Amino acid sequence: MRRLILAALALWCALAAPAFGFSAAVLYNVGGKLDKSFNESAFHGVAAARAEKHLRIAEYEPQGNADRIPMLRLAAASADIVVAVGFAYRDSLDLVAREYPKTRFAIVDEIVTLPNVQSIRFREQEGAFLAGVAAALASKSHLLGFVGGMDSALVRRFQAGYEQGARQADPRARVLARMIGPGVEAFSDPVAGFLLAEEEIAAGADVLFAAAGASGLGVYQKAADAGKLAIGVDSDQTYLFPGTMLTSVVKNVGAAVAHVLKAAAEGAWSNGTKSFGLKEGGLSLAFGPHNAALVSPAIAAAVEAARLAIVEDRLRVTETPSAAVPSAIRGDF
Amino acid sequence: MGETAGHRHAASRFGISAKLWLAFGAVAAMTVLASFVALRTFDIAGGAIDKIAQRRLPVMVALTRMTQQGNLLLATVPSLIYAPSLEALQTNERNVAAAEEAFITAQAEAHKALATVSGTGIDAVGELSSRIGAHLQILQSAMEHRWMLMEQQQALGERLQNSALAHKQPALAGISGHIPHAPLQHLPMLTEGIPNIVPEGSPEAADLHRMIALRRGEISMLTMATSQLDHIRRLGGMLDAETGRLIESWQSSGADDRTEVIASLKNGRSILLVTSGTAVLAALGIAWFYVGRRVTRRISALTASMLTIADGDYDARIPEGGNDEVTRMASALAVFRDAMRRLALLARCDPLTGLLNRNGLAERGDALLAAGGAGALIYLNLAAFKDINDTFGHDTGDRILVEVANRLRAVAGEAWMLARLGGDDFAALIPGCDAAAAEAQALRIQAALAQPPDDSPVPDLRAAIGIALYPRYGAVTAALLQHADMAMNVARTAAEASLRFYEPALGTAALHRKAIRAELRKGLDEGQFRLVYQPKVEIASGRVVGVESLLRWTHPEKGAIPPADFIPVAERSGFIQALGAWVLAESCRQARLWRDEGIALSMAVNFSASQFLRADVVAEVERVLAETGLPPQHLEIEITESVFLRGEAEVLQRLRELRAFGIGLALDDFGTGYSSLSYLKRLPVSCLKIDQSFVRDMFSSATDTRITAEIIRMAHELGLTVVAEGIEEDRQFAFFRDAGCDIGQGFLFARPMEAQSLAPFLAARGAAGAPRCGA
Repeated sequence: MRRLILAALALWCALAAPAFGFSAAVLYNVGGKLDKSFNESAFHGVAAARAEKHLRIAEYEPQGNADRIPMLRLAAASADIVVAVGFAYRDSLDLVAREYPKTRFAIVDEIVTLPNVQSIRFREQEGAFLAGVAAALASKSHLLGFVGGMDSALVRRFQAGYEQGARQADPRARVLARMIGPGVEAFSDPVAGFLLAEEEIAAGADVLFAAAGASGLGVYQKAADAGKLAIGVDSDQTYLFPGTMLTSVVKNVGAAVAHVLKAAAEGAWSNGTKSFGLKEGGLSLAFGPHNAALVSPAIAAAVEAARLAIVEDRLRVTETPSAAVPSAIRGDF
Repeated sequence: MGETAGHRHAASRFGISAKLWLAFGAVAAMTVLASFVALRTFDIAGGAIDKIAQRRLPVMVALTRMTQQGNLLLATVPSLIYAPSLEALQTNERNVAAAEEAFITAQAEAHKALATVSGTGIDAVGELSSRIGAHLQILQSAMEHRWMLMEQQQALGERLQNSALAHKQPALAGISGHIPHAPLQHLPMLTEGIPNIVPEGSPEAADLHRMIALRRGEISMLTMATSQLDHIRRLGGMLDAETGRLIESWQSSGADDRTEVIASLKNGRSILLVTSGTAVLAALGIAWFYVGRRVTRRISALTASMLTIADGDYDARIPEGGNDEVTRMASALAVFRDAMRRLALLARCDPLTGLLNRNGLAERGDALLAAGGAGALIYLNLAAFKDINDTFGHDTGDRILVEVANRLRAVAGEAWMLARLGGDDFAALIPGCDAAAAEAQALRIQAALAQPPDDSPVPDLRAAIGIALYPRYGAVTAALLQHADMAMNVARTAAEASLRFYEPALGTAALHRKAIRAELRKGLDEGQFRLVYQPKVEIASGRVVGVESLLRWTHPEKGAIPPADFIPVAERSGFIQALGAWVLAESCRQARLWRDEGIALSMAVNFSASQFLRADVVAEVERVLAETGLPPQHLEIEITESVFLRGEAEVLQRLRELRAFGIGLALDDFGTGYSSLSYLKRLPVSCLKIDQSFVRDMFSSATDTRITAEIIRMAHELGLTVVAEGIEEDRQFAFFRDAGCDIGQGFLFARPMEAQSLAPFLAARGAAGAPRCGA
């Protein structure tokens, strides 16, 4: 039934496409497009592009990994540009993009090197840098905590930026960094996050930044239980534990998606890698009603100054952390 | 006229119908407007209901469903903690995941439904649900860790029980079996007890320490999970409250919507009331002010005018003004009124003479009589006018009638009312005069009529006049006319006088004549008529030379009716023709009988003047003579002067023919009426009969006797035989004998007698000779 609907939708798109000229397709990651995080951010980008350019945009919501390839094929057959949101699309996109060499593709958070694929990357370290500045200024112990999810380049970019920001704001500040594990499941183990946070807090850390997906929830819970501060990631998570969430490093996938769609509609698509950072609005720090009490004017001013420095290229944030950090082994007590 | 009609037509283009159409059009437009407003109001209300149905209801449904799913989720969560095994946990996790998905779907639906409206608390709900989701993830993670820790404990426990030491040291199995179930507070005690069971540093001791650590971690996982459950419950409560607030605010904003709908409906109702009220008022206004007052009032005025005109007031005012159908009706009524006026005039006037007719006289005369005062009605009838008409034709008759009218006008005073009553009957109503004055006026009329017409073959006109005085003999014109007519009839039949005043006695005579007229025919059919014969005697010799047949009528009930009573009636009714024919035939038959018996007498038969109006009178006489075989020489026809009043030329011709045939003609009643000797020269008569009234009064004046003698002399000079009627006395006989009169007739010689009495009478007088009168 679902496939039938998909087929019908694709057919409609294919038939409708010539009549409407340019058409686009967006494939969300697993989890639904209103997931309060990654997908929903992409959806806002779709809505913005649609409103601004009056584009015809078909949207696909896979229910599992098995849906990725067929949906990509449907989208590729009917649209001029196909945007796949999430690094999980890397292998399937690599496959389908070769099948549809005339269709243009874009992938968010991963790099696929093909002539008809554009790769969207984020300079996570820039956002994390600001988080480090805020954390260092909020900390009393001068010891900050970092909990990474899967030990990967992406997570390490967060770690690197965090460390650089903390040091810039407070030369005395040290960052206690731990990774949950080497596999992708490290992004969905809140207890592991909880235990690492417990460990770091025990070591004296009083501000913890988790770049660990769902595992971060355990970090936030522990910080809340211990009355310490935590920093969220990807979307604004300050509301989850009101009172102990200092801020969130927001990765604005929507802005990136909207940018790609608009550029393609204007004929300005190009292959290769497109990078989004503070300057492009791809990353930002969350300041809102839930953390207003925690962010002092001094912190806000320092963050803004750092942001300007990065945007204006006066400050360069490197991707690699100072040193590799040990990963916690699951179940290792 | 054409211009006027055109103008009228143009003006009436915007008449009543146009105005009514305009008015009804306006009302219809108002109604359409009202309908439009009604529809608009309906639309607004419908829109509001749509708003409620399409916007509010889905939101309410979504919110309700979200609350429901949230409650379901909260209900399933504890099952994670109380799952008895890892498998059960995984099953329950799937259930919870399904519940969470349902909740998230419901929440997304609610969010979508609410997305159309700003300023709602749905973001707070979303945040709360996300927070619940976060805690749920932690809870599940903790539970998964717990079960993994338990598995590890079990594995260690099994290894310890299977270790070499386990056989020597039963306590090892006991403690390893106890650890997975030991509560947290026993764990330090258990840790302290390890050296008593296994030596420190042995692998078994390390395993026991590890088991206790796992148990500690497992308990902390359970604690974490339980605390997450508390968080979830707390957030669930907040979510509930938030959702409740949301629903409440939606309900209150629903009330706003309802207020808005009611306001718009009220608004529409007000407009509708105003519009339809205006339409109704407009309709009433048109009906009352225009149709009711303007049109109806004018129509009522017209109706009143019509009724007045119908009553005969042709000067009735007809309402004017306006330029519509009523105006045209009014002008049509004016035309109608004028026509009625003309008709009324015609109804009152005689079109030929221009005098009043009978109706006109009755109407105006009644008014005059009602006003009081005294006066007279003169009723006049032209003598022998019927004969004039028959003889000279109706054109001549009409000319004469007009002439009569003109002469009456010439005579009439200003106050007179002149009328032609029909035929040759005229009337003049003269107010303010007594009997003497009336008579004088009547005589003036007669004198005026007696003037011979200038260019007419008709002899001078004579009129019989009846006069009725009022108020004595009539309070209304009709009665007065009837009485004057009666008097006139008497005047006409009485040969000596052509003017009579009405008196009540005339009424009875008139009634008598009326009765006679009805009886005449019956009398002739039933043989009530008979003839008697009066002998004529030659004065010189005393011989009977002839008889005059005289008509007698013996009515079975009324007895003998004198000829003076019924002859005029017969003449006026035309019955005289039949009666005259019978008299002639019967006389001739009797004369023939007598001749057969050897009595050769001349038979004198009276002819009415009107009998000579018949063109076949000569042929009729000849036929009777032929039938009876009586020689013409033995028949003598007696006529009166009145015969010459009617169609002189033709009557003369007929008389000449009779005379040529050998029949004797005697002029009867000479000395009454015209008695003009000049006639005698022109008439083909053979005999002159001096009227008995003349004879009777002859000796009262010397002049009369001289005149009588002169008449006889002149008659003889004209070659006529002279008969003296009514000789009753010897001195009369002596006078006529001396004057040389040829024949005498009267009681002195013989009274009229029955046919069978003649022979004995003759025998008594001696032999009868046969000298003929006027031979």
